[in-house]
Amino acid sequence: MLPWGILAASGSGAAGAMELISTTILSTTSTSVTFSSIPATYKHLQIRATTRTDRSGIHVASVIASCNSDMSSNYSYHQLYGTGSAVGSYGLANTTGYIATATAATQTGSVFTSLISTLLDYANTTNYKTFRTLHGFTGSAGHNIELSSTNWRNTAAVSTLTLTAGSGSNFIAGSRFSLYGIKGA
Amino acid sequence: MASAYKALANLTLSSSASTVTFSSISGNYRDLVLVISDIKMSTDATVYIRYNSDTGSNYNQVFMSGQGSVTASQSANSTRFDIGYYTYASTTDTGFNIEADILDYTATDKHKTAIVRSNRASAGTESFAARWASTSAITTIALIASTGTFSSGTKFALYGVTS
Repeated sequence: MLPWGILAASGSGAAGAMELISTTILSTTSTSVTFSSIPATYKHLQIRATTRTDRSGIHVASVIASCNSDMSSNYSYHQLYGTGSAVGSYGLANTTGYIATATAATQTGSVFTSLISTLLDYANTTNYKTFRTLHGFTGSAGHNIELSSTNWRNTAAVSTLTLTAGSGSNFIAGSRFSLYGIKGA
Repeated sequence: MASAYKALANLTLSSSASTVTFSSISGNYRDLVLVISDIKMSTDATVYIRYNSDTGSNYNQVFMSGQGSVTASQSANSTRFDIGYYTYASTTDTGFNIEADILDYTATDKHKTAIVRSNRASAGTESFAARWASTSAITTIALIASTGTFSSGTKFALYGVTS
């Protein structure tokens, strides 16, 4: 079985299964980052990102995903996480699309959350869409390693993906968001 | 369109080794992906990582694990990252693998946080977030057996992901 994330590699730069669609590296703060006009020609999508927010007084903020600009409570999610002192799980239905936790103002400087989130069958018009995400950070203010699963209850093909910083905060400069398409056979 | 994944190095051990090093890593990619598969070791041991020959206490990690009905999470600051725990069963025991994604490995405005999954279905599964407290680009990755050696047949691969 292929490990997480590796579906094709090329030693010569020849065409492979995974292609870069777009990358955004923030040069200033931004509430959100949007990938629009996503081609329907891939089988799956993968987001690779390093994120930090300016949320004050705390070391974490949510990263909220929305599909096709749907920011309503049409999402459900579950988390399995380790904080360094405990393992926990949590779930919420009929909510916005939490996929990960970014670091925030009181976390150790230069510490960004690393996250990889895969959206399988994003162009399928029969099924609801599910993100599966691995993300984590460590720092003096706290630690988190987490697997999360987030479902969008809509059968529409995903053509726009937006990642929004939670709690009214902003992603800071240097936060990076890359979207990849993974081809089918 | 070119593949976003490029295979940078592959090694299958033909004899045992206590350390495997990827050096002179190109800075032309956005992320690195390290895959260690068919891991066999000479004894119970931890697989750990060091970057750029840094032996200082600059490594911070958190993990969570599941072993049957037992879960655990711990954090540590140390001179290395632990990315997998090998329980010796037999010389033919296989199925232990590790994948580490090191995002923004050349970024000079960030510490380097890898997210890691370590899997051996007969013993347990672990996930790690592992931060090197340095804004230097990673140019060398050393994979080290805490005791004993990696056995012949253990595979190591390094990929670059473009962005």
